[in-house]
Amino acid sequence: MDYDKLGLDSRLRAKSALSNIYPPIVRGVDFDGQYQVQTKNIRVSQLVGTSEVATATGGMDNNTSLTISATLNPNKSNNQPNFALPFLAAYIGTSAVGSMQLYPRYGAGIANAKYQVHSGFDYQSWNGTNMVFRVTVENNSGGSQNIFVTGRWKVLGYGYGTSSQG
Amino acid sequence: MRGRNLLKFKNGSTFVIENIGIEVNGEEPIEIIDLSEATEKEFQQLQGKPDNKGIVQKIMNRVDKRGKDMV
Repeated sequence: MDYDKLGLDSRLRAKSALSNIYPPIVRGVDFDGQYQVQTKNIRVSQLVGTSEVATATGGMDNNTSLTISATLNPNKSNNQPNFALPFLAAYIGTSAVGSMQLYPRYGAGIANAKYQVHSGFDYQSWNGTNMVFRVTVENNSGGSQNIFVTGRWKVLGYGYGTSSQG
Repeated sequence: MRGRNLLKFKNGSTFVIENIGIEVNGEEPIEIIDLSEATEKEFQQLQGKPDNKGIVQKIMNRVDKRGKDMV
């Protein structure tokens, strides 16, 4: 039967009903699965987040090397590759004192010939989805030193869950 | 390494860590003590002196007691 003459659509809804006038509401979850965005410009809020604080404190003997590993693992439920920036600082001593900073800058109280420091994103233990950043310090100061490390990640939060660091 | 832990290394070095990994002379720790039962004050005290055996023992006793209470 042709319901058109009665002013109804094929589902017997009035043609003037709001659901027929306005497009259906697309929820975020539906949109994610149904569309691929192509645009010259996109504005997204709350895309960048920060991780929890990471710290390390301990003693380092003369002529030993210390490797600090900051690793960010993606949430297991979505397992999308992380994209993040590490912010890391190391100090001689047991707290963050600017003049005793060892990495990434030498503070005024650090004799730079006494330490060898290098760092980078480590391909060796990268698994394709995590982020691995390492700093290695070699103590050639002639004595045992305390070292304090602190850092956090700035993380793109495009997944459904949060990443864990360790 | 996730969470709060105390790491002991072969050469005698001790590190108190939170959400970060440490290797000494390219080697993993030989002993890992879970500090999740440490209070905030105890953790800060250990950060100031990682080889404070008194506080470590206090935390381990608390973990042991909790384990026995559960049994």
